[in-house]
Amino acid sequence: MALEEERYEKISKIIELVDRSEISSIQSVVSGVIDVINDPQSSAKDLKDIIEIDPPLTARVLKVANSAYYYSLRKISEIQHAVIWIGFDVVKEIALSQKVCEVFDQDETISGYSGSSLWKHSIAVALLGKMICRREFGERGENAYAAGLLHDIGIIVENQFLENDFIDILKKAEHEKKNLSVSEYEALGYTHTDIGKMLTDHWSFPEELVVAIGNHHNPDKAPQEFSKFASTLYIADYLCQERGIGYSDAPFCDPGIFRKCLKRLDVKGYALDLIVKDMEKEISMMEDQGLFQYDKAKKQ
Amino acid sequence: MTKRKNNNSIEEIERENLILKTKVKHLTNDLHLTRQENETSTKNYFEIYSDMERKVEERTRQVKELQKQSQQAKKLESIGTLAGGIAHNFNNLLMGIQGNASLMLVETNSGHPHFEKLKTIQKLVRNGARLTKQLLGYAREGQYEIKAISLNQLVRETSGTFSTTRKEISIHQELADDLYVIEADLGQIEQVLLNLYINAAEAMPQGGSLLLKTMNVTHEDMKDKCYKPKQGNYVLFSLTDTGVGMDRKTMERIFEPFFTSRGLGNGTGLGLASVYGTVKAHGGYIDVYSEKGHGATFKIYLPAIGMKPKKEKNADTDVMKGRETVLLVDDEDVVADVGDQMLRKLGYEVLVARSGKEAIQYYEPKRDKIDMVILDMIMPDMNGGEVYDRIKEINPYAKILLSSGYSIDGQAADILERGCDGFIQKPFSMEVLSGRIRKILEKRNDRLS
Ligand SMILES: Nc1ncnc2c1ncn2[C@@H]1O[C@H](COP(=O)(O)OP(=O)(O)OP(=O)(O)O)[C@@H](O)[C@H]1O
Ligand SMILES: [Fe+2]
Ligand SMILES: [Fe+2]
Ligand SMILES: [Mg+2]
Repeated sequence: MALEEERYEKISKIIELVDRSEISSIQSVVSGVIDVINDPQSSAKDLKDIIEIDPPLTARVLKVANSAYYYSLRKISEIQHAVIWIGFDVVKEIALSQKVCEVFDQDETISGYSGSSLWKHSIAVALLGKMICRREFGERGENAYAAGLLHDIGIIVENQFLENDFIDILKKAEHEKKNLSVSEYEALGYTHTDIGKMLTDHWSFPEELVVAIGNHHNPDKAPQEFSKFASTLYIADYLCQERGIGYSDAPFCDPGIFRKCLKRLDVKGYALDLIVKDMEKEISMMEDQGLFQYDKAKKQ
Repeated sequence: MTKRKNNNSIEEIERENLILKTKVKHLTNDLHLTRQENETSTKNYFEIYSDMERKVEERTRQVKELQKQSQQAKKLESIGTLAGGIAHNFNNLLMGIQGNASLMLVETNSGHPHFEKLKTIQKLVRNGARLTKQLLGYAREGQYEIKAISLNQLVRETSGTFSTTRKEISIHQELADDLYVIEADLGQIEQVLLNLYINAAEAMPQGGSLLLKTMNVTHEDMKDKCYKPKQGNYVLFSLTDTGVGMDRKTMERIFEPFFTSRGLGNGTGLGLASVYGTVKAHGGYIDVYSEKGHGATFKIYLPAIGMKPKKEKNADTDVMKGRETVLLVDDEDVVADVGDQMLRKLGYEVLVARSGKEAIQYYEPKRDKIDMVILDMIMPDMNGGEVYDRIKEINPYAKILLSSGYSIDGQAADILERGCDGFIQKPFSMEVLSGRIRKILEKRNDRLS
C-alpha cells in the first residue's frame, strides 16, 4: 500500500505539471467531444460550438473534411456543412483526432520512438478499435476510437516532463529487449498506463475510458463491467504492433493475454484479419492524403 | 486445378464459407450503423436548417421594429417642426397682447376697476407663453439659457413643492451622492420634471407612491436601446409610479403632440411632447417602461459635464429705467409698436426700423447717437445675422440685443458666439426688457470708465 501511495504521489506531481502545460490545452475540446459522443441528447450544434471556439482547430477540421479521403461532393467551409455533407460522427472523429494530435508534435526519433510514430500508432489503434466494435459487435465504437487515440498519452507526458529519464527508459528497453512498460517500471516505479489513467481520470473522462487506458497492457485486471471494452482496446493495440503500424511500445507481448481477450469477446482470428486488412487500407489512404502531416503544418 | 480443389477442399470451402459469413456480418453491421448515422445527420441537418430559419425570422422582426421606430421618430420630428412654426407666430401675437396690457397697466392706477383685469390678461398671456414655450421645446428649437445645474437639487426642490399639493402621493427619493452636473436650461428641466410628476399623479387618482432616482451612468449602460447614445457620461433620472400604467399601443404614441388619453378639455397632450423635445434638445434620451395596471417608469438620460454648479442671480425682477437711445428692429408691426411704446415708457429715445435694410439706413448716419440695437432674428428681407454683421462693420463697439420668438436656436447661438451682447425671447415683459437693456448698457459704461 505504501508503494501504491508513493506511486500516486509521484504521478500527482507530474499531473500538476501537465495542468500548467500545453497538454492541458486539449482537455476542454477533447472532453467536450467525448461528452457529445456519450450524450444521446447532444446535437450537431453542440459539436459545432465546441469546435468553433478553437479557430485553428476549426480550420484543420475543415481542411481534413475537404480532403479526398472523405470525398465530400461539395466544398465544406463551415462546421455545420461538414456535419451535413460528411456526417455528424465523422466530424466528431476528425475534431477529436485533430485536437489530440496537437500534443504528439515531437519529431526526433530515439530508439525507434518519435511523437509522429506514436501518433500513427494511436490513429491505427483508434481506427481498428472502432472497426472491431462496428463490424463485430454492431456498435458505433466512438469511445473505442477515443480510447485508441489517447491510450498511450502517458508516453507523451513522460517524454515532456521526464525527458532524461524517458530517454534512458527508451534506450534500456531497446538494449535489454524489454517492453517499454517494464523498463518504465524499473526506472520510475510506474508506467505510462498509470499516467494515462490518472490524467484521464483527472480530466473526468467516462470511467470506461479511464479503465481501458489504465489497463491497456493488462486488460485482465479491468473490472468485469469494462472488461469487454478494455479487451477490445488491447486487441487493437496488439494487432497494430504486430503489423508494425507506427511505434510499438510492447514488441514482446504475451500471446496468452491476446488469446484470452479473443475468447472473452468471442471474436475469431480470421474475422480480425479481415478487419485489419481494411484498416491498413484506410491508414495508407490517409497517409497518401497527407492526413498525418499536422506537425509540419503547425511549424510553418 | 479444378480437380485439385475438389480433392482437398472440404476444409477450404468451409473456411471460405466462414469468411464469407463474416464478411456478410461485417457488411450488415456496417450498413445498419451507417444508416443510423445518416439518420442522425439528416436530423441534424433539419435542426440546423430550422435554427437558421428561426434566426432569419428574428432578424426580420428586428428590422421591422427598427423601421417602425424610425418612422415614429420621423413623424414626431415633422409634427415638431409644424408645432414650432405655429408657436412662433402665436408668440408674436402674444407679444402684442402682453405689450398692450403692460402699457395700459402703467397708465392705470391700482384702484381702477380695470387694474385687476389687466393683471389677469397679463397672467393669461404668460400661461399662453408657457404653452408655446413647450411647443418650441418640442420643436427642438429651444435651447434656452444653458448653465450648469445640479439635478439632485432640482429634483428635491420640485418634488418638495409638488408633494405639498398632492398629499395622497408619497414620494421616495434615491438620489446618487456624487451625481454629475448637467448643462441645461433650469426652467425647461423643471418643466420636464413637473410634467412627469403631474402625469404620474394623474395615473394615480386614488393615491400611490412615486419613486425618484438619480444615478450616474455611461453610454455603456444604455445598450439594447432603439437609439444609439453618444459616448460619454450621463445622468439618469428615473421616475416610477404605481399608477394605472398603459398598454403598448398607448406607449408608442405618448410623445406625440396632442396625444392624450384624458379626453379633450382635460389634457392637451402636450406634456410629454414638450418633455421629449426638451430632453432631445439637451442631447438626452428618454425611455418609458410600463404595463397596463402595473405602473409606469420614465427614464431620462442627460449628458453630464464634469463641472460644479454655480449660483446665478436673477436680474430680471424690477423695472430699470434709462435715457439712452435705442434702435428697435422688427418686421412685425405689433411687436415694433409695442416695443416702441414699452421702451418709451422706460425712458428711452426710440428709433424703429421695420426691416433689416431700414435698420442699416437708420444706423449708419446716427451711429454715435444710438446706444444700442434691439434686433429681431428672423426677418424677410435681410435676417438678423446679416444686419448684425453690417452694424458691426459700421461700428465694432455697437451693443446689440437679439430678440426672437424662437429661443436661442442655432442661428442665434451663432451670432451670440460672434460677440453679441444678449438675447431676449418674445414675448417679453417690461421687467425683463428693462433688465436686459440695463445689463448691456452698464457693461459698456464699465468698460469706458
Ligand atoms: N405616468 C403615466 N402613467 C400612465 N400613463 C401615462 C403616464 N404619463 C403619461 N401617460 C399617458 O400619456 C398620455 C400623454 O401624456 P401627456 O403628458 O403628453 O398629455 P396629458 O397628460 O394627457 O395632457 P397634459 O399634459 O397636457 O395635461 C397621457 O394622456 C396618458 O395616457
Ligand atoms: Fe501502451
Ligand atoms: Fe499502444
Ligand atoms: Mg401631462
